Amino acid sequence: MEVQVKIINDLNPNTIVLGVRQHSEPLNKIIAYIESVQGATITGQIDSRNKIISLSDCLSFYSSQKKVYVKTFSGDEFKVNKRLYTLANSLPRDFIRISNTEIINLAYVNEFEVSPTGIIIIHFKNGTQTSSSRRYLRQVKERLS
Amino acid sequence: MIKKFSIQTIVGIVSGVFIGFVLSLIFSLLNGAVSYSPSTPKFVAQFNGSLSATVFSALLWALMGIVFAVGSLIFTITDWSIAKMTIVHLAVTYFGFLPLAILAGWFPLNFVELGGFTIIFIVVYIAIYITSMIVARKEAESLNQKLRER
Repeated sequence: MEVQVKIINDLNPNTIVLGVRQHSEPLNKIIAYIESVQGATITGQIDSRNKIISLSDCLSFYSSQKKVYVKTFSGDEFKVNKRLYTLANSLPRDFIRISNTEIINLAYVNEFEVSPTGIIIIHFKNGTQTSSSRRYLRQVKERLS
Repeated sequence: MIKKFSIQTIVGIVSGVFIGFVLSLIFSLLNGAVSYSPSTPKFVAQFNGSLSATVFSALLWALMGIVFAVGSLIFTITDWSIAKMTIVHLAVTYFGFLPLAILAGWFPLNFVELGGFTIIFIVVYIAIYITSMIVARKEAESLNQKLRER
């Protein structure tokens, strides 16, 4: 197979175009490989514009008023057109449900703390925090093991 | 939630009547009575026979059972803080159970008895709060341990 690389300046960032005559088995392998190199991504929306976000940049997914949002480590927020329970099943292992309304990325957790009134506070490595429902802690523990 | 409520209501009625009956049976035996009595002689005297006194008692035991069985659902709301959970549970069982216990003739209505009962109630709930906090802290500590091992 002959490989040619063309630089296309007006292409969206994080996009690769493969020009082929027809679909084939090697092509699927190539696609799978490119996806594995690039890392998994998710499409988020802000001001009705789409943005591709690498999952490794995602800090948490949360639902608010029936909409789902993703928060990145750097503090940006985007709307995501997926339900929380679908995300819980499809996201990589580091993402885990911590309450009815939130999924977090365990890679960015700094510490778990119990507040004096008895709320589980999760401190993230970027200094932000969230709270967890005690019911979900067992699953979190299993995921960390 | 409605399903959980209905199940707990039935559980409450069954366990309430059972526990109430066993306790009254034990107290009847301990008092050396010849025949069964659902509560104190003073309580039974309010009725025109021991059958109606027992029926009324059974109704109260069922209601007490419902208070505790439905109240226990509060401990399943794990989004609440431990403090909120404990205080709400205390309020529900205290104000739900106390009037029923008084009606059932379990307490004489005087300040010393009620005060003693209230103090025991509060002490039990402080113990529940402290135990829950210790369990939660241990859990958090083991999670932190696992985080560090990663």
